[in-house]
Amino acid sequence: MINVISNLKQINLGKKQDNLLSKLLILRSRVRKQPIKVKLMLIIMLTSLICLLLTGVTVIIYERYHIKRDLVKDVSALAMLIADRSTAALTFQDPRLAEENLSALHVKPAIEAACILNEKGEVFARYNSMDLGKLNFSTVGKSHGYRFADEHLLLYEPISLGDRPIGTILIYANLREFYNQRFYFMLLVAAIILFSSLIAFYLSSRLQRVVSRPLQQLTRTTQLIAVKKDYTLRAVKHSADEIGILVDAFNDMLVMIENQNMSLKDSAELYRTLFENTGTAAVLIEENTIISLANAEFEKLSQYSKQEIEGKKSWSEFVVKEDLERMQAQHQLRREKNETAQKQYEFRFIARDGTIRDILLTIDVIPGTKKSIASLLDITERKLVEMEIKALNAELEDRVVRRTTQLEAANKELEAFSYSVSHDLRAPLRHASGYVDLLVKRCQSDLSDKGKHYLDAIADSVRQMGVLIDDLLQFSRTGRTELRKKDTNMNEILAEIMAALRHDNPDRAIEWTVGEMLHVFCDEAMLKLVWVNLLSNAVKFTRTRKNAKIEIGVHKENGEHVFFVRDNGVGFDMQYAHKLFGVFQRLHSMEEFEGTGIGLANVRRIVLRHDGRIWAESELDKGTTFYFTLPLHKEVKT
Amino acid sequence: MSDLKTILLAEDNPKDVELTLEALAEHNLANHVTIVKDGVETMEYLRCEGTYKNRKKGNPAVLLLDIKMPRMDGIEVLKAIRSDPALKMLSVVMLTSSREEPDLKKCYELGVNAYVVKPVDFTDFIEAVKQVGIFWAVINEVPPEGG
Repeated sequence: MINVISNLKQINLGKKQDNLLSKLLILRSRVRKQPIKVKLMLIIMLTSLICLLLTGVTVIIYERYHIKRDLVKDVSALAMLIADRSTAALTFQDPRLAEENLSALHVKPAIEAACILNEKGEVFARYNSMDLGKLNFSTVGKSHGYRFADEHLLLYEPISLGDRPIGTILIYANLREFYNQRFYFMLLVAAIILFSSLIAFYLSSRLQRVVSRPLQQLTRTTQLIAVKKDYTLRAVKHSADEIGILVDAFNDMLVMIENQNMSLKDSAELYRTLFENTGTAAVLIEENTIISLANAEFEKLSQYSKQEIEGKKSWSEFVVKEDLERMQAQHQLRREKNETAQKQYEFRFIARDGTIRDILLTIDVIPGTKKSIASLLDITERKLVEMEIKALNAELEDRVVRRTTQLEAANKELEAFSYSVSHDLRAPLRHASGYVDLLVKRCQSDLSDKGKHYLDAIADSVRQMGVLIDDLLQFSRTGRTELRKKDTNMNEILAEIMAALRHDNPDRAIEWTVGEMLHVFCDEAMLKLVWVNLLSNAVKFTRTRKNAKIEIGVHKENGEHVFFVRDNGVGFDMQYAHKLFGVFQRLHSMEEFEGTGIGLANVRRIVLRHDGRIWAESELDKGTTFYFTLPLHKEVKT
Repeated sequence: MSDLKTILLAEDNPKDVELTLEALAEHNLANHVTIVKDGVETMEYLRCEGTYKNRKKGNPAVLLLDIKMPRMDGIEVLKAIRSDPALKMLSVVMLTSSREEPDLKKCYELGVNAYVVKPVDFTDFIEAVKQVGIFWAVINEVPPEGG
């Protein structure tokens, strides 16, 4: 029980302390909320008041001590004076004289009573009807002394004759005067404190401005900046103290903010301009799919104004139903794991009036945000063109296939034709030749000379027909067979052909001049045919010359190899040059120079199939030069 | 010349047959020539089938084979011979009017032993047939029988 009670007491005590503490805390927080101006004044006033009060208390204490000492001194001087005068009265036992002496005490109204005690301590004389019973004489010593009691001063002074004490004088004085004096003094001090406080208040209210005004101005500037967002404003510096430094620092910060604002504005301007002028529609898409920024191109594309789009429309409103699911899946991916999202894909865009456009979308998340920036390229026309091209290509391919089939069929027919020519046309010829020969051999005796001549003519025609068929077949083959191009050494081909020609014409003395030939990318067998024809022609048409000269050479000209074969043969009239390369065209009679008229047609066909050209320059009786070209880029370095 | 083996001539054109025989006769080779008129007959002869069921067994020394023949042409005959184990070693010489490259290529691919184009000129023709006849029927050693 006892413990519980003591505990309760402690709790009560604790509560009281808590109350006080909480009140102090409230006060502190209230003070803290006050403006600096008030705080400064509070500090000054508090300090002044404490100083004044301390001074006042000190002065009062000091004054009280002095007043008391003066009172004691005054009364003691009076007592000594009366004691001095009362020696005789005591010696002569004259109380009337003593009382007369005491009556001089009336000059000091504070003295309420006095008495003179004789040697034995009995009252010898008294002043005023004072109740001396109140006084405790036992405490009165034979020597000088005083004490305060009951708001009175009791002072005693020995009366001596020579060295012998003969009595004591007692003075009992009230302290009213002293109290009065003390009251007035305190009043004065209070008045001074009050006055000083007023002065302090006035001065503090004036002087605090030195500190508070620049701070107030600074605060006002900051508030103004906060409200207006105008970072060009500056705080005014009034002093070079800490506040001045603060103002400088604040202004420096403002300059920095202003610069940063400018560069921010610049870059925002730059990006805005870029955004507007990419040439494609572009939008900024928030995480919730709302378009927060759109450019003019997007306005054009969507047929909505920026005001209608920005912050209001979701991009999904512009996607056709069929593509929406895929777009939303991509959007989700972009939000969760951007790297896996597709950065570019096509979708169909639906404009305000319902028109649908094909769009190539390029989209990516802005780093550090959930926003996406998207650019939309209208590829509707491109797709149309693509489709057209595709259709055209398909048609073209179709046509090519058809033509190829036709060509192949024609080629097959031609092949079949030449095949049957080679088999079926040659067989009757062979038979004719065979039977003519047999006739001549077996029935020679039955034949007249004329008959023999006829048979010779038949045999000759048959032979000629055979050569013609062979040449024609050759000509047809050079047109049909596939070129088998390879690196071909022209020197070797020429050497081979020249050897054969020399062998076939052993009685001919021909002066050959052969320039250095090169390697050419061509069908070797066909090129051989070209050289055989040209060279055998040259040999044939110089037959009538005593000093036959044949020159072969090559030079490069305009990206081509230009080969030539020059002879000093019979030549031909240039007005017939156009007939030179035609099939069965001949510029000489069979009697003069034999031939089928297919050789040069064949040569021309081969040269053309090698992307070359062929021509001849000639002068009757002077000689002929054949030229043919082959493309230079087909040349292979050896 | 009794040990001379037979020359089998596959030729549909009687004029060609006559002229070829004339040419062979000039070199005393005509008596050993057997003539078949087309590819089918050629194969019947070689396999001793049909009309030739009862002929004396044994492959000819050489088959002179024309390409253009009715029913089964020369190239088909060549193919059949080369894929027949009993005939594949038979010497086959194409004797034809054609000098077409595809034919040449096909024949050599099928393993022909020679390819001769009949010259239009009869003198040349006789020379060619003579050369072929002598070489294949006289000079050349035939492969072992049944190999």
